[in-house]
Amino acid sequence: MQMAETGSPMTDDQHEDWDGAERRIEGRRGSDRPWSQSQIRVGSDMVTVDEVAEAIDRFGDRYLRRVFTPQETQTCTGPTGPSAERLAARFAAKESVVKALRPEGGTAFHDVEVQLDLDGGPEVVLAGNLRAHAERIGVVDTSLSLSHDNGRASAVFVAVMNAPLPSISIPPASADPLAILGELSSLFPHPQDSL
Amino acid sequence: MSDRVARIRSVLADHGRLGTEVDKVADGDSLYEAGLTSHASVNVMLALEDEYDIEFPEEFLKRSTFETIDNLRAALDELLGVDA
Repeated sequence: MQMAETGSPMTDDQHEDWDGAERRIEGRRGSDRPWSQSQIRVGSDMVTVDEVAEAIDRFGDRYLRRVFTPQETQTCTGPTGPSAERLAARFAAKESVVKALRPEGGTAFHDVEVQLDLDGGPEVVLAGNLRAHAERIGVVDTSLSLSHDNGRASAVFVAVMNAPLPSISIPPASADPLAILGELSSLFPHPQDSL
Repeated sequence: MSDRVARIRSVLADHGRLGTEVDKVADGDSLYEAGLTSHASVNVMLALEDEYDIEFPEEFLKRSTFETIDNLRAALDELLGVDA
């Protein structure tokens, strides 16, 4: 969301002095979308399965412990050992999540865990700094799809974010009530936004 | 070329799976443009950890750390102390 700037023209964003008390309404700029509309971010990644197989051969348990959670390793390990194909899909999932959420700092591999829901479908569980980042940017729902075929594994991750609500500095009690109502109504110019 | 850069280049040759010979990649060139994949960067990280007996902390686990040889050297300098 764009932030109102001091001295900016009065458009959807408004900023002015009112009886000495600053009133700031942070709103849409250059957009016709209503406030209530959600935003989505998508991330995708593809990994070559033999890269994962090679890493398992070269670095063994250290690779598995460092990159995957114990639950992920257990889920992807069968009677013949770890499945490079399934682990590659999970690595692609971790990358797709980071691409979608765009955290500013580094991300621990374990901050993204792929779990299977009750229907057996994959879902992402976030932890640590990445979870805090996701909460900060308003992520309210996620969806993950995994695929592997012909030596490659891929993941597509979608995050749904609630558009932030406008913030208003409450004017002093002496302010004109009609002016306050007019100001509030300007936040919802479209019929579908009516309270 | 410093010893640290030489060791980084050796690790990249062994684990980077670059599409280009590492000798043809300058210290400031993008390793991703040279063919380094996100997963190969993990192998490079693990190999460097073995090489120097260190562990990259979370704040270093980002794309820019592995973007160039210069960046890798800077990360190792920070973790190990400046190259002598």
